[in-house]
Amino acid sequence: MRLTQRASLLIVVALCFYLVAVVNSLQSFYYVLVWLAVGLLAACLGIALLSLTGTDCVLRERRVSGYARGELEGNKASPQWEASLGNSGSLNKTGLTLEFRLRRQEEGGATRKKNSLVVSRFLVEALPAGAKLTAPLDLDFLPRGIYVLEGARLIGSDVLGLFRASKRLTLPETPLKVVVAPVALPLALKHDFVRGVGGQEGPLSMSRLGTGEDLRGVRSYVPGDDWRHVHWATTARTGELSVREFERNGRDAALVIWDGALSASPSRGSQTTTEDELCLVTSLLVAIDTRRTPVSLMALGGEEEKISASGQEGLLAREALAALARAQPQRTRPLATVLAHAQGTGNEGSGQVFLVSSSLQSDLVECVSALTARGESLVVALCELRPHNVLRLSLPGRSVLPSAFEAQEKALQMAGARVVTVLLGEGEPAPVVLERALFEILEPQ
Amino acid sequence: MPMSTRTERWSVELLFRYICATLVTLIAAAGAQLVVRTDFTVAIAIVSFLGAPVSLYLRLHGMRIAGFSLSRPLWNTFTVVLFFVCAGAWTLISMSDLLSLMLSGGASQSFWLRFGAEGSLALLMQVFLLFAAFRSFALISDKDATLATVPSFSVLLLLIPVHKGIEVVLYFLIWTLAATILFALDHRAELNDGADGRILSPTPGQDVRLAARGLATVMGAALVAAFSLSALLTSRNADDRSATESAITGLVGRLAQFAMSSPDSSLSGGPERQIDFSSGPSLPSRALLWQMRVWIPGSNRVLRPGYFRLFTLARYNGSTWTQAPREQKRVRLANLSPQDWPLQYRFPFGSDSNGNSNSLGFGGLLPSPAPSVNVIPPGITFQPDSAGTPLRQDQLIGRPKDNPVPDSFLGFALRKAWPKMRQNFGTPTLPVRVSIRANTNNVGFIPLLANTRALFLRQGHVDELRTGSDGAVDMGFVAQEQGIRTLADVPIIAEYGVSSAMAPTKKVVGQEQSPQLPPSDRDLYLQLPALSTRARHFAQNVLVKAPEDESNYGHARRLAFAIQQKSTYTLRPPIPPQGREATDFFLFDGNRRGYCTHFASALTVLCRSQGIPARIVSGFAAQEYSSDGTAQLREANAHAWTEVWVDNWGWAPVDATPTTDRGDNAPNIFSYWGDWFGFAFNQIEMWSRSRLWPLGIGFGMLIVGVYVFRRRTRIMAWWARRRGYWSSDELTRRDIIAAYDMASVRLSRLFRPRAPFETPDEWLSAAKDLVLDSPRARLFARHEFEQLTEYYLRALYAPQAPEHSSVAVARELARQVRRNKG
Repeated sequence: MRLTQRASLLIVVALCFYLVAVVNSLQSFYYVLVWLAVGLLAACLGIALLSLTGTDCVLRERRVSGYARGELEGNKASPQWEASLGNSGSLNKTGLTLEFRLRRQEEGGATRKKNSLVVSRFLVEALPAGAKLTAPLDLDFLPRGIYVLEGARLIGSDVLGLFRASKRLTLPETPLKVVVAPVALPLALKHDFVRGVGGQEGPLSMSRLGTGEDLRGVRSYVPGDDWRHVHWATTARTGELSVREFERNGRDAALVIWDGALSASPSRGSQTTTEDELCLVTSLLVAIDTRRTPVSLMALGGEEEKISASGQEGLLAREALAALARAQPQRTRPLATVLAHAQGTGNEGSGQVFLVSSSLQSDLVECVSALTARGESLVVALCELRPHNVLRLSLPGRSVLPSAFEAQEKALQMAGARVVTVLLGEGEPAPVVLERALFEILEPQ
Repeated sequence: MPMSTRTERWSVELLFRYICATLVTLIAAAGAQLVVRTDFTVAIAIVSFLGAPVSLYLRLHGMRIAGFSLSRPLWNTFTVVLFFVCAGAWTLISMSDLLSLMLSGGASQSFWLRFGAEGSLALLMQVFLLFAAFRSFALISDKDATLATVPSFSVLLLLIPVHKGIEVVLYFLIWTLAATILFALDHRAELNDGADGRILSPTPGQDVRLAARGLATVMGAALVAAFSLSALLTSRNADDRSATESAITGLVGRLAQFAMSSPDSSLSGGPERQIDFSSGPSLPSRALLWQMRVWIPGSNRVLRPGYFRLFTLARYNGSTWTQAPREQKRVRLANLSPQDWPLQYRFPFGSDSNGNSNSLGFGGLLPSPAPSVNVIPPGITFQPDSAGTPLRQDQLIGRPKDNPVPDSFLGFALRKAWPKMRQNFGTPTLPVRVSIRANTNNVGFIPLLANTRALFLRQGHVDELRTGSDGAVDMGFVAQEQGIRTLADVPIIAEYGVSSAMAPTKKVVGQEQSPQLPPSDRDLYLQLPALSTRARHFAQNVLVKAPEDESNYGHARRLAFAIQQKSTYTLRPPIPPQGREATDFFLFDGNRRGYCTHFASALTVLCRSQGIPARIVSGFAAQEYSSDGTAQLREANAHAWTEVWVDNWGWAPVDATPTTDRGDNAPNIFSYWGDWFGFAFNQIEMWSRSRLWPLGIGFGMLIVGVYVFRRRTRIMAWWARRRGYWSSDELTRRDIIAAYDMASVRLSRLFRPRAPFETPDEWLSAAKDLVLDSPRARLFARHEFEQLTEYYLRALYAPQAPEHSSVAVARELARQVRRNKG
């Protein structure tokens, strides 16, 4: 039980009343005010003490979800914990707070680092007597990362906030973890990159991205065919329902690489730019995965590992989410070396490779050259997401960029990659820029 | 909380916050109008009313007004500067007299005394009110609204020492309610702001409802605790107080005295110099004014008189008693020492264990308790009359011949200096010494026993005093700790603690030395305004049963007894309407509700109406004695009684106030609040007495209206059936729906009301999941309600209406649900 400042103030007020009444020899009815303050304190104390009586809370981990189209409001992974609250007492409870102490996991699973403790609170609006509630805990306000639950408690207070009572909750034996992955763009979840914008057939209809299938031709509709594959032009011409037919082209996987280079320029690797880049990476993964195309991820920051990002039922794999959550721009070795290490001894083609980077170093060009020389189809998203006032960008549509960026773009193009520049224009919010880039990456004009 | 100027959305909670923030200021202004000018408080209220909507507008529009964006710090500064300017101007205006006097050097001591604490406190209150009013324009954030309670609280706190009326407590109680709501909203906002996420309540708005209920519970519990603790722990009588409370109060008092390092500087003028029935009473405090010790010189016998006199009131105009234009005598002080105190008496006390008086020499012992004290000269045997017949003059010792008051007696030899202040109280008398100590600064009359004939000061700076023929002594300013000694010849009657004897109830035969009332005094003490016939008849009817030889004292006692019948002692009596004679109103239209002055006034008027010279005496009724016999006279012990002239005997005190209520003007909290409620009921009763018919009709219509409203559905159905508007199927459906609605109230209370988006099945299913399996719902007729739900759904949706017999079944199920059977 904790006495708040407000309660202390009320005690002082009650004492002042008493002093005033005694010193002035006031009538007995003035003492009502003293006892009113005392009564308020006593009533609030009683309510605070009873606020946790009969209240229990059990924390559980839900089935981990990734990004699922249409499942959620917003564009983040659905909450991974849930709380079951019960009030077996006879008093209704309001204003309870569920407090978590989360420790952020660092590289290698280490957690004991300064400033890695996060305290988050959930307000339980009301818990009537006899009620049981099970509520998902939306933890997407946390910064990207992996968190372990160190402690949890319930905090109750009275209606005036004079006293606070708290109760520790019993944690599960297996420590609860929450993985907070980067945000995915809404476009990645909602848009059908095969059909293109506005339902028109997009360029990808000829060569469906990473599906491992090329358009073979058109045939008559057979019951059971996917109606989205109806070829309307032929149908209108022939008067007979026709569908597109595809054949496998062997290019049935995609690889998304994030280049987490520790840039030589301190101002380049800001937290915001890293988050934006990872947002783009995540959106690519989601967009590809929702088309049921196998996709892998290499987050080449501190880690050098290729992870299959395809999950079940259209959800990203947990390992990929964890990798995205952990990713930090800490690559110090040449990209080609790291890539080779991550890919292992296998030299198989990946179908389509998407490389997201903001590096202006030469090792990026070398790596791209090596990949294109191997016959990989490569799209490089070259990012410059620093704020406008840093880059002195001019009017939209015409940007004045540092020469190093333009040079890098040219070099990459000459290396054989398709380059999509991701530039933060004047007054443009980052999500708009990223969505435009995503569209350009997946549906080149 | 961050100072945010972002545009906010409208919400009921926001509106409540601003209402409460304005309300606390308005309550403070309403309380302040008890002390400051009403037009000032009205102006404050108007400014506050204007300020709150402006603040709300700015908050909802992100500090933008008419297209201009205001900087919040600048706006706050502007309001504060405006406050300073207005407060400064107002202070100058209020203190212009003081300033001009200060500058001209003409401020006298009396001016400072008059301005003193009350004036400065009132000015400070006005400054705080100005602050609150101007700040109402800058209530932008939640914290601003909560902090609006600070100046209003300060105003009410300052009001306490200035007004000291029960109204202040009421204002505080209402203020506390509004402030508590503000604090609860503040706490709620704090919880919301500190939360990273929310777990929503089972139904929308349930958290608000439960929080409101919690707040009401807290307030209710606090009020109950306040009144019960106050009644238990705060008693009017120091002897009744618990040891804990006495210790705490004593310690706090000493600490406060030490902290202030100054004696109590309050000034008491004692009871009012007039009685005005057209205004309400100013309720006295329990401040200790005087400490009186009365003893018989030459012995250790300490007396406990019931009354100490201050002054008399003789003129009456129907609504006000005032002092007669007094003859006053100035008596000048001479130096005095205690050795000059002239009388050293030692008295024999004559009662053995059988109650027979003994003839004892000097130094006899007083058996305890002594039924009476007989003042017997040495050698005289005296048999006291148990009926209280006054002793004969020659049986008494007033001033033994061998020890008279020396002519050279110094000090205030009042009787000697002022022959008119003669012995006009009942004989026989007993000389007693009185030690008077002023516990606080006093101005005006000092409490005395009857027949005070000598007075001296232990120390002091009084050069002269004034005496009146009625025995009052006005010493002007009496400083705290001033000691006064007096010598009085008190009548040997129970009122003065000397004996259990009474004044004569039979007419006294006149003798040479018998006191007489001069004709001019007789006229004065028989003066009356126009008195109603029924008041005169009332007195006549009472006295018609009196024996022929009964004295005026006996008559007065009869009248006093008659007045006390069906009377109620209250400090909140009804105020007579303008133009009404107070006694007539008190006796016949005011339900005989009043305090001591009402009773004394009524008795005096009735006595005068029957030709009995009478006057009101204002003074103290001693209720509290310390263990050494010192009377503690408090402001609350102020009392008024009647003195009637008994021919050939003198003035006899008669108290018409009921015995238990004499000098009890600071009862405990229960009595106070009981008095308030009694006053309220009495006012309502008096108001409704002349409006019985309209009230009765109105009340009857109200009952009928409530009945009709509760049965409206059935009445409408009956009417529709009679008119043939509804088919029988429709009626069947409606009856089943009505039965379900009645029963669903039970589940609503147990669980929650059905939400608009919920079907009855969903609602019942949710209730089953959450509540119906818990112990709380063990008496709920669950199966009956399930069946009733099925009937309800059929009545609503089935293509064919249920059979008419279903209605009875549904009603029975509903009845069972409501009675918890099953």
